[in-house]
Amino acid sequence: MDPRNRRRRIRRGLLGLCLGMLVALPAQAATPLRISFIPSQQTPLYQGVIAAAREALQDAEVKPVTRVIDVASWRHDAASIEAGSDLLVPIGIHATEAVLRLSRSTDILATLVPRASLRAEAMPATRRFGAVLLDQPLARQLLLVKVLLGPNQRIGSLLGPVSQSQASALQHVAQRLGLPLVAAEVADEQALMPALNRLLGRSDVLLALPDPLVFNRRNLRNILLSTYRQRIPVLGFSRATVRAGALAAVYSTPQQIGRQTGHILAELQRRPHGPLPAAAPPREFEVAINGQVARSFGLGGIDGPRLARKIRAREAQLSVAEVRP
Amino acid sequence: MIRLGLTGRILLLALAPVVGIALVLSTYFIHNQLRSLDHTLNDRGETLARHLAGASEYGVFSGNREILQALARSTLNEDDVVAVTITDRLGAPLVQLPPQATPPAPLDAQVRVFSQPIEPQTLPPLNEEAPFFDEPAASPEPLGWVVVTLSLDRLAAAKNAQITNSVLITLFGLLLTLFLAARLSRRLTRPLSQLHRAAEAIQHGDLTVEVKPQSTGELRTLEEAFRSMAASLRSRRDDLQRQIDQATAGLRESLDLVEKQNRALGEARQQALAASRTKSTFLANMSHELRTPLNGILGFTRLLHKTRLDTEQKDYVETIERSADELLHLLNDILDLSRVEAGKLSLQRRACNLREVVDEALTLLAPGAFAKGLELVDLFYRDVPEAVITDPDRVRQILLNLVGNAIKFSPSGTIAVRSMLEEEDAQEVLLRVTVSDQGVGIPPAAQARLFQSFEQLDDASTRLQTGAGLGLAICKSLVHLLGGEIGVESEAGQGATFWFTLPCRKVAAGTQSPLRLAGQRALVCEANDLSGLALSHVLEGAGCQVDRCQAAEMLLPRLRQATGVDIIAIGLQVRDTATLDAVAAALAQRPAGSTARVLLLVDSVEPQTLAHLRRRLGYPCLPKPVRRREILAALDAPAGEPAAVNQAAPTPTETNAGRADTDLSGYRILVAEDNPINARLLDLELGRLGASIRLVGNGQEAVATVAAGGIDLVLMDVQMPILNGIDASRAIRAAETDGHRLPIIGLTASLLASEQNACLGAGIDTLLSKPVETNGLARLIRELCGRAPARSSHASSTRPKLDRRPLKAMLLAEMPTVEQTMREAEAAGDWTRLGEITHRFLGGVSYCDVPPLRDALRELYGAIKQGHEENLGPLLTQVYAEMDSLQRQSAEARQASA
Repeated sequence: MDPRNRRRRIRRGLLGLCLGMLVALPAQAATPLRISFIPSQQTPLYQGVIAAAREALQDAEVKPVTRVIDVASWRHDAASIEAGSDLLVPIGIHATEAVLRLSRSTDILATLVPRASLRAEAMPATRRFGAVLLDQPLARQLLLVKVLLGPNQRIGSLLGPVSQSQASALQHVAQRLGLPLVAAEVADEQALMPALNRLLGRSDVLLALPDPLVFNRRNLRNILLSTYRQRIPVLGFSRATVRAGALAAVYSTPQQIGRQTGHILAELQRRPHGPLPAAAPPREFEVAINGQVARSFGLGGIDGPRLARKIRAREAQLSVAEVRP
Repeated sequence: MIRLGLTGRILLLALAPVVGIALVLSTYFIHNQLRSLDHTLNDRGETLARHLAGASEYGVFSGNREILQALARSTLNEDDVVAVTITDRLGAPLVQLPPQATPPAPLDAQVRVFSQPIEPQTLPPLNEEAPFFDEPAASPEPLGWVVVTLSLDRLAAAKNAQITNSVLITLFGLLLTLFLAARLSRRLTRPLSQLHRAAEAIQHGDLTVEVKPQSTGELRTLEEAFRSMAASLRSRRDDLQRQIDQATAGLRESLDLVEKQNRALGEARQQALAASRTKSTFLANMSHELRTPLNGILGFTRLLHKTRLDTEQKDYVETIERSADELLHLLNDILDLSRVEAGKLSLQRRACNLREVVDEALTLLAPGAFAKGLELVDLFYRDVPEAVITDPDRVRQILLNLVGNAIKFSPSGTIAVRSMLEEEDAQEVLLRVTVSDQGVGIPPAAQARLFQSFEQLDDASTRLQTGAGLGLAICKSLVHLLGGEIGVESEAGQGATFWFTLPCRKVAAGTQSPLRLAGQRALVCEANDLSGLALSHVLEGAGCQVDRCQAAEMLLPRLRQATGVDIIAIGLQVRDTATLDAVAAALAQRPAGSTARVLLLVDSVEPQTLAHLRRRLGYPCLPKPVRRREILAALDAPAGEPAAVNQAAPTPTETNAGRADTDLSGYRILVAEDNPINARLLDLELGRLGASIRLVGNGQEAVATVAAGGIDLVLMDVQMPILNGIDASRAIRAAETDGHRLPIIGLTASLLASEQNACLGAGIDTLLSKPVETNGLARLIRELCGRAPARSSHASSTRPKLDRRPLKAMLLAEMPTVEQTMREAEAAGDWTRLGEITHRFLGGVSYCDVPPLRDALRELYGAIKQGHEENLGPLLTQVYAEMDSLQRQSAEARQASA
């Protein structure tokens, strides 16, 4: 989805939210939605998401009936669960995939899912489906480049089989922002180093897009080493990647995504028949910086929140059209 | 198991654990060190490989060989690294240092290979907070391999050094320990050794050993205790030794004294024995010298007695005869005793009739007994075997002695000789003979001394008879020689019973005298109880049934009663005239038809008395004591006839002659004697006894005469010319064929035992020494001939013409010839012939009163016989001198009487 549309949606969402909140006050007596959270794992990550969502719901003073169903139970007993739910909220890839497969009629709000895992063919046709994505908007990531490294940085990108789908969008956004982009395709592991080597000569910065083939924990180090040797910083896609050695990354915490999910649920509670965001990128984000790497690149003194503010400001300036093809 | 001394043991104790521990520890530590070195190397290798693998990851991942080369080179610079290889996942080497080095086989002992896979280092999971995707599973394949090869040289060197050092240290430590242990142990072992040596010394008796205290603590206590113990032992031993010495001092003195005394006693004993032997030998030798002239006296006195003598002369001659007889008896006793004591008496055992021996002894002594009015009883018990093997002469001698003593010492009463069987077995009998008298008896105190020589009953009251006291000593010696015992039972005034035992061998074939009076009944009338018993025994022994009465008054009634009495035997005492009358009366009144034979036994040997009684009583009288043979002979005559069997019928002139036991009538005797004097004597004597004599002068003629036959007995002089008695006897024996053994009696003047043995060995039955006693000879002849002599008297005796010249004249006539022959033999050195001549001459000289010549001849003969040839010269000279002197003397005498 292009940045413009997104911005609009964001605005719409916010507006709707406010209106909803106004309306919701008196309309609290509306039937509570039966919401089933289905985390992919019972780890603090997913529980944090659920907690944040519930908190957001609480803050919104709506009281849908929420319950948490683990994936195994869902797989086992999908029909009854579905029957008892007005809305299924799978959290994570596995739960989403399981829900998509096994649910029939209930609305789904998937959250904490990467865009790549939402395949078009899997989308349900007859019911509402919404998602809160994990991926940061491409524009945001490119803006990071700009604010961090300045203009006219050549951007390289290794695209694996999964991230390949974003190639054209990336190209578009880069063009809009005036950043030259070079992309190399990596079909298999053996092709990785050659692709990287191709990029390294023609890039000033490597933008990492999540792809299991390219930026897994095995390869990332070597990629980082290779890029470091060429003094090419890498911008990651998560705090982990920054910790691993990427210079910086924009990311959203599970709490932020959970909160966003909660808001959507609250809205839905107020307006049960309202639309679900098809694939909303995370609204809140932060910037992670690897101080050591920054210092190595001579970029001392950079500050994550400041960069985040800058990016937010720039984002707001970008028109939807500029960001949406 | 090796025995170790104290030092050894202490050292072993000290060192063994140390050594053990040292070895164990050193082994352990060496092993550990080696292992640790190994581990160190392994660790280094693995570390190097690991680090290299880690460092190589990027290079391998990115294909950057320069990075890898640099890494490999830096690794290669490490100690011990000899090769480094980095390969990709397919094993193709990306880097190889040193180049072209083939990766060594892992089994190469000089190197050790460490390989590590190059695993990609993974970051922490990236999708913790942002689960964009599931992390792909880790590829099992490593990116590549790192091979680091380390050399083991340094390791080996280090190991060797380690081992060497450890061993050296251990050895050094052990040596030090050994040294210290030895040093320290000596502190213990030296004092202990000292104590040990001291203990051994004390054990072996050496109490002077010193123990020097040289240690501390318990050992010192031990040492001091040892010292004091040794000291106390020493002092105690010394005390004890002193006491012993004191105690034994006196003892030793006594022992010395006793030893000296013993030695002296021993010497004295030897001397006494030697003296006794000398004395006995002397006596034995001398007695013979004494007997010879005595026999001459006796012989010729007897001859004189047979000549016409008036009463006075006869009286004198009888006195001389009695005296000479006594002297002879005394000398015989002395000779026998001395011979026994000198051990020269030898027994001549032969089969004999014991009853006869006893009878003869009693018969001989009967006159003496009857003269004193004593009754002599001969009780020969029936179970005693008559035929035994013993020396009858000795037995007779003993009996003569004992009975003679009994007669001597009994004024009145009965003297009984009992012969009893004491024990009997298959081969031997033990007989017991007792001589009991009713005389004065012998007090017990005196009995012990009885049998010693020269012992008389010194008590004056008992000294009724004189005697030299030799008889009992001789009896004792003879009894012992015969193998028996002798003793006496007596009380003073109660008579005495002398007894002796006689072990004899039985004669093989026990001849039972037939019961010649079997089935006959006899009446015995005898006042003397014992005599009656003896007579009854004899008759019962012959098979009679005997009836006894003692009083003569009973005789007649008995005679009248007794029908079927076959034998009437009456014992009479000459002095008991009352009994005589009674018996005479009884006999006169005997029933006419009585066919009983009557036997009268009288206590007298006087022929006149016997004849008188015979006339008076009408029946033959036999002298007591009862002799079975006489009685049986007397009863042999057909019943009813007064048997005139009185073989002892006396002739007036012959008193001694005609006695049964010396009667030689009918005996044909050959006398082989070369000495005419001896020959004449024998001829006279034996002829007087009734024998018919043939004389030969040498052995050769003797053999021829015997061969011609008609000879009952030979008297063989041993020393004869041509053929001596020994060889002649041998020849005669050799010629004997039909088992009939001709009795040969040897006559010799020599007492040499060697000659006696030679004679007996040649076949001579018995040997008599000249001069011979005629009666004894006669008895011997009778005994040896054993059978009744042939009645036919071959009186064709070729008596040589008797030379009646006086003996001395004969001798002198002979002398020149003899001297000549002697000189010839001497010159020729023919000692044998010289001996013959000397012996022959000696025989004749013995009867002539020429002691000097006789002595010289005897000495000469002895020297010749003993082979002392070197002495012969002077002896011959002496003989010649004596002959000369004798001839001169006789010539002077003839001149004087002419």
